[in-house]
Amino acid sequence: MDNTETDNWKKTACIICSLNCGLDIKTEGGRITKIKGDKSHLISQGYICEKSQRMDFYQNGADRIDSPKRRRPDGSYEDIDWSTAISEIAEKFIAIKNKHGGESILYYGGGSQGNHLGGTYADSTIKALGIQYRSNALAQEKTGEGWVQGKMTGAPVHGDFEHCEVAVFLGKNPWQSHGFARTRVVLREIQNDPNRAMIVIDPRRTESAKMADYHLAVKPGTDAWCLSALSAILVQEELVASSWLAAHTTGYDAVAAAMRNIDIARYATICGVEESLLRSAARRIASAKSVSMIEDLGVQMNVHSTLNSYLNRLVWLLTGNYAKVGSNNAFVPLLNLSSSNRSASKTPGKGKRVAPRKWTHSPVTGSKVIMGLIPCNVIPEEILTQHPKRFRAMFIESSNPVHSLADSQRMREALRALECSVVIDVAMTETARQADYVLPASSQFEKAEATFFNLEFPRNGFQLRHPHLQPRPGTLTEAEIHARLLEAMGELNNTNYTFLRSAARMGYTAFGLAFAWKAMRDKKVARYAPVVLYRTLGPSLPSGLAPAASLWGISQLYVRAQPAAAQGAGYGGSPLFGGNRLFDAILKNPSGVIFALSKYTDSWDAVKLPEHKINLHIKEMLDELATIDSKQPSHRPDYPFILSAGERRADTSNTSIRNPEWLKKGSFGVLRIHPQDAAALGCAQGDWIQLRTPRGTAQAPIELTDELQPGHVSLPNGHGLDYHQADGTLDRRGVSLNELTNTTDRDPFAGTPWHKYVPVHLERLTPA
Amino acid sequence: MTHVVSESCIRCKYTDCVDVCPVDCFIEGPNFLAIDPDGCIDCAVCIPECPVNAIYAQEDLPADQLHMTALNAELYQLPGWKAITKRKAPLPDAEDWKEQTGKLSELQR
Repeated sequence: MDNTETDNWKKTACIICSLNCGLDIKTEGGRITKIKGDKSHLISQGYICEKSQRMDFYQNGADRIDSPKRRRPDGSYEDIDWSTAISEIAEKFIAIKNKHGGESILYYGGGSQGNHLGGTYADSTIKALGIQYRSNALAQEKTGEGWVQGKMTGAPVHGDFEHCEVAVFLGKNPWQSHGFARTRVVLREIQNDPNRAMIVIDPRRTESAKMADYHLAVKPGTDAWCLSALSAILVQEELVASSWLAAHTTGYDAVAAAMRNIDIARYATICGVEESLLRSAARRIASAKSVSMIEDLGVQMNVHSTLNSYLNRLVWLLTGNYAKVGSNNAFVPLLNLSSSNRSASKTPGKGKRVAPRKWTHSPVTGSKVIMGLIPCNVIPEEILTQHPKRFRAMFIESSNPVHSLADSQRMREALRALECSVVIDVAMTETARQADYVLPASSQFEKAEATFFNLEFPRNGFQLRHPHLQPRPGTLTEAEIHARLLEAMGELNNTNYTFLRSAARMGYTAFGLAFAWKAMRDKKVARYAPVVLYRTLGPSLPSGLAPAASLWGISQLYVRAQPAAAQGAGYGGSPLFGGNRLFDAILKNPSGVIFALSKYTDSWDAVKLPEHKINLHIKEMLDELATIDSKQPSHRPDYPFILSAGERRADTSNTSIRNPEWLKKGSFGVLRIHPQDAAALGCAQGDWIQLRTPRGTAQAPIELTDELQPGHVSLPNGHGLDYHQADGTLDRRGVSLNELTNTTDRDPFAGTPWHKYVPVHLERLTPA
Repeated sequence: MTHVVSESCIRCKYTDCVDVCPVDCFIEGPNFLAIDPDGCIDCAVCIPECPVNAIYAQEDLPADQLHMTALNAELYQLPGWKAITKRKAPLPDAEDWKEQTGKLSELQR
């Protein structure tokens, strides 16, 4: 770690999207001055996109914080020292726990697109406070898919786009939003190979749609009709993989009966795609040796989102595209992001923790807990009420719900209504500005960091990033913050640590044996394992890597839970030694390690249902399908346009990058609109428009494009942050989308928001 | 869409750009570099690397450089032009040529 210029490139990763492509960086005087792709990175292999060049705008934002802060009654903040902050927070949260129970405290976040290591330590604070409810941004995207996945396979899957014959992108523009390794290269390979095909289902003519062989340009909000028509064609034309279905699945008859009832011509009309195009796309899927399919926010943040996740799976399962090269497979995670939470899943599985029945629904609205998370959209309703079981406090880590979740106005009110709220973050975010306490974390380039977005198959990789810049004075790592909280709450002290700390100095084997011995005698060692590891093994790790100590425990659990994949990657044998070798490899390989090497047949073992058969029949979903005709998207006359709120474009980033100077080309907050609509509003390119939704208003300049259908407009993701310059001046550029969205517009099953289907009224703004 | 090397590179060939290209899509001729239009993923990482600002996104090319899109694609097809993935020394008289304009007639194929 140093701040001086060096010729040595240093290994790290991009923090903008879930791929976390490996980077080589140069640093100088506390700045990240040069960035290129790390060709030795085992997954990204040197691939990067333009977004990777923005790391220093995160690292050196003017609104980074370097002291704990406490809110004054007038809403301003005063700096306080760490010991005051920790002891006051511990005292207040313990008091709330004692009075209302740990179930009255909501834990939100735990990581963002680049940083999940801190969240591993939050597990200890969650247990110490008896917290039962959690949420994070996955609960406004992936929970519908997670619920469907649980019912059908019980295992998360990921497509093999590098090898598939046909790639299907549903509500996704991978050219911009990525989603699989080396995305743009793989897209080009599919496009240029006459024997392969790309199918894009998206109302917009995106970069990916332009490359596609089949672009099914659905009308906004009608994906369910398009997807069910595709499955209906497969069934009615007898294109399904009959013998494969008989051998590997249950419930086909119920699905087939539902699909035979579908009037394909009428469904084609409803979704606005020519019947002949739907039929040729379905036939192309059926004739392919392998199909991989991936869905994203275009359907997951849209009407019928859980149903769409189900219908997506039917398309590739009816054609037998699972557990083989080029298809969807059950990747092996190092740490399962969903089961690491207090899952309410009823799926039986060896060693899986099953939450008590009483925490399966949120306390006030009774919303389903999926993947251990309550829906983001119900959080304000769970707070702004007199209900005796309402949330009284929130612990928020590396997340910005005020900006990122529906209805920012109501989220601000909700945070202010809490008895206590704490935010851990690197910057004074929109959410931090509502919190009672703000704790400054060291940045992702100042500490050991990693993500568990490891979705590759059959080789899966993990990268521990080492610190490359000095931590800002006054900041701490999350590991240290949670350790201090546990100690301030009286849960841990040196009597829990001393023996293990000595053992750690004698190597991983001695430590592993000592840990097992101690954990049997000291319940707190097992209960608070992450913090105990940080305090005991951490000091023996190479300089700056103490916060990687929780990975020792994760490595040990991984080799026990996934012995076949671990052995494939060279971490077999006795679990203690295999886990130690994996942990050692993680520490010593800054471009990452392959921790899992699977066989395609392992995807069947991963199916957690009787006889490892996939279940095709989810009754709730087929019932929903039977009634969707009464749920066709309707245009309200007072809000005649549909706004897609949060489009990923070349000029969008994520909200970790707060300093707006990152945008070198283009402008913030541009509303894209069809020329015909603009003309009807009397607007030309660059004119400003007033947007009005049932929830709020905003103003935006327009860009004319025939890539959107008439009646459909879009605003970019992640703009409109309240960035404060070094002198305190507010710099707000673009539209903060959630000033326009409603929490009540949400999926009836998973509670996920309809951000891609926001009714909006548009009006030309007369120039001043 | 692709990125395009414009005339400014001719007789300079600094090659800083090839070090950062994530998809190794630069090719090299005697006194010029060009970009494979099918390999380029529009990441734009090469743009700030060039000491003579020779690289543009296709849609940002100055009016007097529009012909370079087709020329990059054409040079990519020439058998003698090979991939270059590691930086090397610029041409010996690069400094003399870097301020020059209208260098197209100097291009060697």
